[in-house]
Amino acid sequence: MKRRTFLQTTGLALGAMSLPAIGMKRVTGALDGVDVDELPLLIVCEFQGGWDNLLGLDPRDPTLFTDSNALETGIQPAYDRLTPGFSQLPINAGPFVFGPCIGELAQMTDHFSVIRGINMGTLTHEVGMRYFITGRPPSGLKARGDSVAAVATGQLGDHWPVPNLTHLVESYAQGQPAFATAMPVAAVGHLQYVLRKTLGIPTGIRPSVEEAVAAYFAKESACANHLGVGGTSLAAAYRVNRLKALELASSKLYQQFEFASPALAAVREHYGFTAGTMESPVGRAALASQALKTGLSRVVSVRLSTDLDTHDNSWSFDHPTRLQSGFTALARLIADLRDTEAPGGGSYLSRTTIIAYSEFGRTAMLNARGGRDHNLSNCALVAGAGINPGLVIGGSSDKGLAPELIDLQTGKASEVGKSLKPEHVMTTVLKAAGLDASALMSEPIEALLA
Amino acid sequence: MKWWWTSLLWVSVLTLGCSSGSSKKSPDLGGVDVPPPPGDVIDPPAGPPARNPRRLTIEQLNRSLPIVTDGLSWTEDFGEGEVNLFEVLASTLGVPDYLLVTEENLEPSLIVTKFLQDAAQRICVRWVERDKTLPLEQRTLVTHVEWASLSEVDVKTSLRTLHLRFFARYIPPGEDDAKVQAHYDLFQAASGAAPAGAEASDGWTAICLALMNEPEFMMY
Repeated sequence: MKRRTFLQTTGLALGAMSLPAIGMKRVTGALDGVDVDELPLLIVCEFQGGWDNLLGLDPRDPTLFTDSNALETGIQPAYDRLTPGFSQLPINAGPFVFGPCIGELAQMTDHFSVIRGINMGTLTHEVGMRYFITGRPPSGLKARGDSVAAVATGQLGDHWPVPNLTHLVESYAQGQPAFATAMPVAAVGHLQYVLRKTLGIPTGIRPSVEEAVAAYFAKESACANHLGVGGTSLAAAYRVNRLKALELASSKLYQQFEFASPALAAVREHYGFTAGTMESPVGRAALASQALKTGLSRVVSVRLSTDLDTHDNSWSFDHPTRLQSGFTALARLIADLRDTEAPGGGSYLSRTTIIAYSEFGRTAMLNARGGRDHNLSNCALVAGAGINPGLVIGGSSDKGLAPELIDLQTGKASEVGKSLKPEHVMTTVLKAAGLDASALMSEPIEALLA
Repeated sequence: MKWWWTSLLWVSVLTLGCSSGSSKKSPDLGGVDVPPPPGDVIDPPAGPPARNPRRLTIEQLNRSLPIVTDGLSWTEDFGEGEVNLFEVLASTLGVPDYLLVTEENLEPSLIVTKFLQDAAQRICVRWVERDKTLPLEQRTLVTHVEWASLSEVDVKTSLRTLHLRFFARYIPPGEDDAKVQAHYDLFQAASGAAPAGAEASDGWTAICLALMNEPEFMMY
């Protein structure tokens, strides 16, 4: 089934039906009148555990920052302690200098910019993660406000079968229409089952029975007068999703997510995974790309890299491997979107805004166990639609990697500038995608906006 | 809570009822006692006047299904023994693992409704097949005498029992009820389209699918 046909027969029809039923208004504004195919796309990439910026986006030269002057600089790159195979020096790539774990991302410098010296204000995993997810500082451990992904989806509308998809990234959508709530999948291999009726197991139920039940659900959902718990907004939202689930299960969309099938050999080849290794950063990147390119979703969040929280000597072998795998997956995702034409012309990358973050950085000095602990100073990477590529925004000091103040207009360090926070980054992401960012009550980094 | 507030609440509930076939003499109040008319003295309730409805957790749903079906769960055998699909898909369904996820999102999400439909499809076929082989006193789906009966009286008798089983809703015998009527209409639609000999089976399969996917079953 062609994407447009699928949207017409499922997504659009459901969108028209669902909104009045749940009494929610679609956010309108700058996107009014824009063709559905030309609406922006968004990918949120999470690197879970707290990444080591010295190994990736904010390196230091170990010939200048040595063990002998480490007490003075407070910075210990320690590239010589990494597991064999990694460079012991920073990697120069276009306008950037990266750490030894940058992987294939070093070949994609035409497409992204790096933000350094983000002050997270927390050393707690959940807080840092939720700070980036929502673009607002959490209240204690609790997220405040909605996920930026949900905020974006709320504005984009209910035009796709699963407008907001998330792989292991938390989602909050209390202030958004029901369709903006992310559909979660815990594994790459699960999505095909989510989309496929009874996981592909024959039921023996006659089509006439299914048709009668579907007609009953449609009629029951249209009835405005329900009693008791059935008359609540929760039940109304349930009925909307009940119809949507029926449509989803009757589609053939699952075939686009059977990553082990011969039909998706080209996807496996591009991303570099096999049927047995799809639960990997490259598999997750492929999931994100497929979800956008098949028209399943418009906003996708994926946890690209996991288990980066290396406080002990596993920092020297686990962290670099996992970090590089995540960066390589991100590079292949960017390449895939760049090389695929979107409906209406232009590449998918020209329509898709991408943000990659971790909940915080890691300390510039090794601890007594040969690992690194949590550090306030952080980095992020932004790419794609609406982003000026090739820029390094902000920075960290040469003494302990402390976040520096920046001028949000120029993106340069400034003694009279502001402390760079996740809300500035996420406001920039929404603005770059052409979306309203007022919910974050912050300012964008103007220099990044194309 | 003052009596007039309670009365206003119930008046609101009554005016919201679907009109077709709904009872005039005894409103559907989900088994809750009708409050006394204005003027009666009632004690103020100890707690808040009401609470927001909640969706069943996956654990609650997984435990509820064998109760309403008398023992059937969403299980499959992929060649290594039977597994419970709600347990296999727990992480995708948002069940807390208390490692990364400590709170279950209880929104009626697309993924939960979709997998509940899947579960219903698998369970209902088994329930119908089992039920029609059982003697009347052991049946939990069709509780009128003749299993294959298509008569309105018989079907509605079983439907009333099923409403009690699924929704804890008691509908006195002989009383009209909009929801029972709607389910009877569904039974007729499914059985009417069935091949000869499969009318009742298809009708009860459709009823089972509908009941398991009603918001009144999934919420409390």
